[in-house]
Amino acid sequence: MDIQLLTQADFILDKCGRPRPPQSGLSLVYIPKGFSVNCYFPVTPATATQSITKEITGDTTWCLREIQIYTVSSTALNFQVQLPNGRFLLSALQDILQIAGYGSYRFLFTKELECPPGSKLIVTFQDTNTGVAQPVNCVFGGAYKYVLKSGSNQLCPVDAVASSIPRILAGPSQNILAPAWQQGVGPATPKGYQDQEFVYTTNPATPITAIPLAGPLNATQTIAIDAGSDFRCRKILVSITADATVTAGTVLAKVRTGSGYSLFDDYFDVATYLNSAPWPIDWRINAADNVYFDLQLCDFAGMGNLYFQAYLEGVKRWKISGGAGQ
Amino acid sequence: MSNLYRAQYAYPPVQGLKDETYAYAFNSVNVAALGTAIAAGAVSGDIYLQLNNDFEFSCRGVNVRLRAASSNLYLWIKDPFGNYHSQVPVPLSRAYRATGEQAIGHIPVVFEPAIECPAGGTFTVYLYNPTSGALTPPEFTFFGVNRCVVEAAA
Repeated sequence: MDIQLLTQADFILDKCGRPRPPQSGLSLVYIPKGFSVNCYFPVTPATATQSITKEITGDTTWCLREIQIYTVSSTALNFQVQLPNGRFLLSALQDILQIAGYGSYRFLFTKELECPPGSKLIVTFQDTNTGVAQPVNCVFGGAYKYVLKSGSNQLCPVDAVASSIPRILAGPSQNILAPAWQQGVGPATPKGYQDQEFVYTTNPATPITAIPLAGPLNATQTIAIDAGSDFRCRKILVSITADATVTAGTVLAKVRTGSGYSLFDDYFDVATYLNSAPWPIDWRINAADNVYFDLQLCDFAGMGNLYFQAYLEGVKRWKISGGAGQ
Repeated sequence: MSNLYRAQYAYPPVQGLKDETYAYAFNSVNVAALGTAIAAGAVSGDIYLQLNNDFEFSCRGVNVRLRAASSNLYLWIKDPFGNYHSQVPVPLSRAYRATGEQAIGHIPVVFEPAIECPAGGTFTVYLYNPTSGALTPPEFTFFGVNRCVVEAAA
């Protein structure tokens, strides 16, 4: 790598838009770099397992940050990676579709893994459907990491300015509507509280609300929240089933709590438009409150019953007395 | 810092420990119960998914893959501390398959907060088949980080 190019890459813009070297001291320059691993199994392959070794090349340490895998619906492969530090990524060979994805759906490492030049990635593929040809493409993404001893002193503390601006990812998310956790930022538990993942549903003894096509066409399903903890709802899951004699029907719902708060102002098809979609912020439901699903059946045909069941997914939240939250 | 790439971790590592990305895979190969079809109306209970005993595991998400997309299996998960994740078994295809799933990839369902599993801990799953035909059990992948102890240099 040309040192002049690295030095230029190390420069940052000051408030006036002029490129400036950083303050004296050590600085890091990252140059994005990916290593691709491709594999192909023909129909009825001679051997159903292939291990591919990829050496990390370059003149400096490479940091592994992500894996992008392109597959198709007919892909039937198992997958395992031995990382350059000798450890395995997965506990066992696993269906590649469990972690495959690219762009916003790529597999991200929580913390980048530094791989020195000359170290090796060993990727193992196992064909689990030899009746179909199995191509697969992987890119192990990351960046070369160059350590520079930077140049001159300066009057303007631009490094402080640069470190305060919003983060720009080397591989930016392609889905601007992706929820916060997908960008690597999870909804945090406030200090002094503790969360536990939980899914509420209706009374387990009678979990399903039946709406007969013969009428009445409206009903209410109630979900009771435990008295011991508040609830932060992050998804609504809806299950609608019907008798075999029902040929059409749509269940509209309006969701509210016993406190009088209404989640939306009118009835709409929650199963189609809201089902399992992650919300950008939590819906706060107090302890011992009830969540009501006011239901309305419309556009129906046939005879018999339609059945509605809702689930609230989120976290139970407790206050921890006298201690810091997690 | 002079570079625009600034790592931003939602979960800073615990002092004295080093996080390493890791995933646990459970399927019919390493869990026999996941290779046995569940009969109509039956419950396949107490399926133990054992974690390694070398490191604590901070579990941050799960991906449950159904062999058949239309499968109507119900799932009930109990974490290593005995906490159930729902009151009752819930439809797997809705509760444990993330929105936006495509044939090209499967994003996990996130645990918020993460579950700090002890070394050698065990997830227990229960599968319920409410349909009139036998169903194939799913595969599980638990995503997270191993909490490795940082040892002092000799």
